[in-house]
Amino acid sequence: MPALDENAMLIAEGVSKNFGGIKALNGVCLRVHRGSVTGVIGPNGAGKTTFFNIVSGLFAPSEGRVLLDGRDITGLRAHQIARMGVSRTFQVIRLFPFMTVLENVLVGQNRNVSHGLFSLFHSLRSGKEMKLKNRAMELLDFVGLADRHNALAGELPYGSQRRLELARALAADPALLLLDEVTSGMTYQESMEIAERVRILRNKGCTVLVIEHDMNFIGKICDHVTVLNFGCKIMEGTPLQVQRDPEVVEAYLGKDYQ
Amino acid sequence: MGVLFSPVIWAYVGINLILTLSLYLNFYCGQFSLGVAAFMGLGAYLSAVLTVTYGLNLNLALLISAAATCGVGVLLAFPALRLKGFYLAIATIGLVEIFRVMFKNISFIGGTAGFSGMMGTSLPLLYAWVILILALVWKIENSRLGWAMRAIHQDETVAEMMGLNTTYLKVVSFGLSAAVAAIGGGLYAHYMFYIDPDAFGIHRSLLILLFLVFGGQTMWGVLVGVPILTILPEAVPQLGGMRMVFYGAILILAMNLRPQGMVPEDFIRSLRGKYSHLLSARTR
Amino acid sequence: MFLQQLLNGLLLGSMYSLVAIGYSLIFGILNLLNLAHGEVFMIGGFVGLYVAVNLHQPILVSVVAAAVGAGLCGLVLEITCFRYIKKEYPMAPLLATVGFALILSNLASLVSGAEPRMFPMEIDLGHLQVGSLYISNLQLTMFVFAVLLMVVIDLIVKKTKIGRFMRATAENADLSRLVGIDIRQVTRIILVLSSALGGAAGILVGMRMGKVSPFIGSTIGLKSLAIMVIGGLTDVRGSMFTGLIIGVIEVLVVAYLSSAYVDGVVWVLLIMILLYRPSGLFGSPQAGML
Repeated sequence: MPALDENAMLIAEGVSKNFGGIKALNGVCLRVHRGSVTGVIGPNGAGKTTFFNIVSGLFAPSEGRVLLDGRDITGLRAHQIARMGVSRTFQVIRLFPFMTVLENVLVGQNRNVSHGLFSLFHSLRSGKEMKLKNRAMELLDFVGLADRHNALAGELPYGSQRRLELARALAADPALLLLDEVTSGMTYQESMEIAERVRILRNKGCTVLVIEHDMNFIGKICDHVTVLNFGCKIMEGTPLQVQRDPEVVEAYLGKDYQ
Repeated sequence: MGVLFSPVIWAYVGINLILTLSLYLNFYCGQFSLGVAAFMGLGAYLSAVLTVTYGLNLNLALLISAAATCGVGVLLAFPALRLKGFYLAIATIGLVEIFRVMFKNISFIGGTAGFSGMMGTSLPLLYAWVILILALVWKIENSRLGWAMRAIHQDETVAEMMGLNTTYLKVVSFGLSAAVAAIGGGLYAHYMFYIDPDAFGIHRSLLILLFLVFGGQTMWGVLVGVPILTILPEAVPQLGGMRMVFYGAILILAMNLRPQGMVPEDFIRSLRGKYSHLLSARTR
Repeated sequence: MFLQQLLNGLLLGSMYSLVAIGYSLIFGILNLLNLAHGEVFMIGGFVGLYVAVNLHQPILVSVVAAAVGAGLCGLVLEITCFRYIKKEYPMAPLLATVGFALILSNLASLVSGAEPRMFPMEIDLGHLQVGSLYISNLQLTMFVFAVLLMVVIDLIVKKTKIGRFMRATAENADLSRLVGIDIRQVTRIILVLSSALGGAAGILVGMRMGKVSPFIGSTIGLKSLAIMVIGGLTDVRGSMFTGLIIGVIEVLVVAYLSSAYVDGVVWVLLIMILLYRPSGLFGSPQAGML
């Protein structure tokens, strides 16, 4: 059994997931270093989003363990894991469509902020709330949406919605950020802007995991890449190593493209 | 138009306001529960017994019955968590019927013969409660609890993944809504001087649902829709027995012509947008 | 004795089945809940009563008249509650049917009085005696009618062109529209058909109970709604069998426990089914219409 690695923000040990008869993940082992940007790539159906779903707590793995910063989070509920510092974006955009851009971000603030009965006794105009609002506006500024803060999230153009998802994920000041195909549908320019943002986050100490199909993006920001196919990890290494690996090429393009 | 000056009508308006706000609290959180009649009945019987049999002060009786009903609501909220949408609606219809059958069979509260002996309540007192509950609902809407509930309504899974404890929040909404319904029921009991189990059947829940949807499922919608629908059937006394037929026709018309309700969410938003320069800059 | 109770239960249940099948048709194919179905059932009862008593027609004619009358109601229902209402607001048609139900039950009560209208003479078609079991021919007719209905509807849905259209619509309304199926037409047919069935059921039940009441619609209607859900929502056969089962259970509860709680039984069962087997007794586990 691997010894506890102090530099590992996230450790997945033998994670498997069965859906009825289908094995979506099969004994995946992963180690993500603190403050790194790690890519998770693989063809469609490889199990990447399923892996994210397990790490963020949407469901528990059928086998295996997940450790966050040394703590076993296997089987914990999603909101508990979120409060422990894990935030994510989604492959298919899932904003709160009838809330404003600003409200979407504000709702994401879950560090030392009560959303329960106790909040009835606090005012939305208190000093603390003003600070939280300023923080939210800073995040919107970071992703370039500050001027649209009163617009309804559901009415934003696609690219803006993706950026809002990022801002919302950052609202909780996460230690581990999971980005699921965040650049999907974006232009080259937009993707590079996102890449720059991720670099800034990494420099601030955030650990980032990205699922991506865009190899430019992966190449630009990832320190390390893991490749999944049919639920198994087939290779890991630097972006360059991975791109050259014949097994990886075969996984994406099929046997005939050697 | 003399009907507008009848205190009875305004009592009904007040009671219906409270009951509709109870349903609103459930819908706000995305829980389509129609159990309001059941909790109304529970609150009615509890408070009636407390004042008549035990001689308690009305307000105290209302508070105690609200607390007890809230407890029942919290207990029932847990199995309700497993049901969504239509299934929750029909399960809560079942709940209303089960409660009604139970009420019919408890001789202590009169069974089918009903329960009476309550002293009356005054209109100002009733409206004091209405205002209290309105304030509660307003505060919920303007607090992080309200934001959390709206988030759960719009996408429960994502809300959970943002760190919101959806179980806790849905149970809270269920419990609060039950407590509010109990207050409505208690005030109903003490205004009517007599209650029987048939007053708390499905048709009551459906009527309240009608009020909420007609109003547009917003707080302002409740304030506009409830008085209109409560007063309307009484406003044309010449109709006599055709009152309810007229009422049904109004409903069909409303659902055909303005299914989103009188004061729906986007209407309020567009109003705010038009007059935003008059309002101070603050988040909605 | 027990066997007699069992029999009585089946016969009571066939009454529920008749109404539940109507709900099931509408909900299963159109994904719409018609809360006026109980009232249409009641109208059938009144029309049939009028034809049998005032026009002195034989029973069969009364049943047909009831079906026609109720079918017409169904057409009016379709126009007022489903044709023009936009589907983006799912609760709008539902509440429109509540309004329609209000109109029907109060009109009936205005015309006929709020008290139930009795059948002036005993509708006695005689009875069968099988050993120690007693079956009234009327009850038998209802039972046979319910079974026939189920078979006929099953055949229509599975074998006819309109049945295929119905199943396509149930599966995927948008796709069906693209393929050229006139959803409006299908909706109209389903509503009129199920209303006619409800009407026929109404007169049969009225004859069995000896009276027709303007407010019976909501009592029977709601129980049948529960039966539809317990049976599995979309399955007409499910509604049929569940109706019979509930009838048997209710009769046994009254006979061996007490009559006080009998009305609550079906709802307790409903909640248990929803919690432990939401697809219903006869529904397929993946049936997720919502």
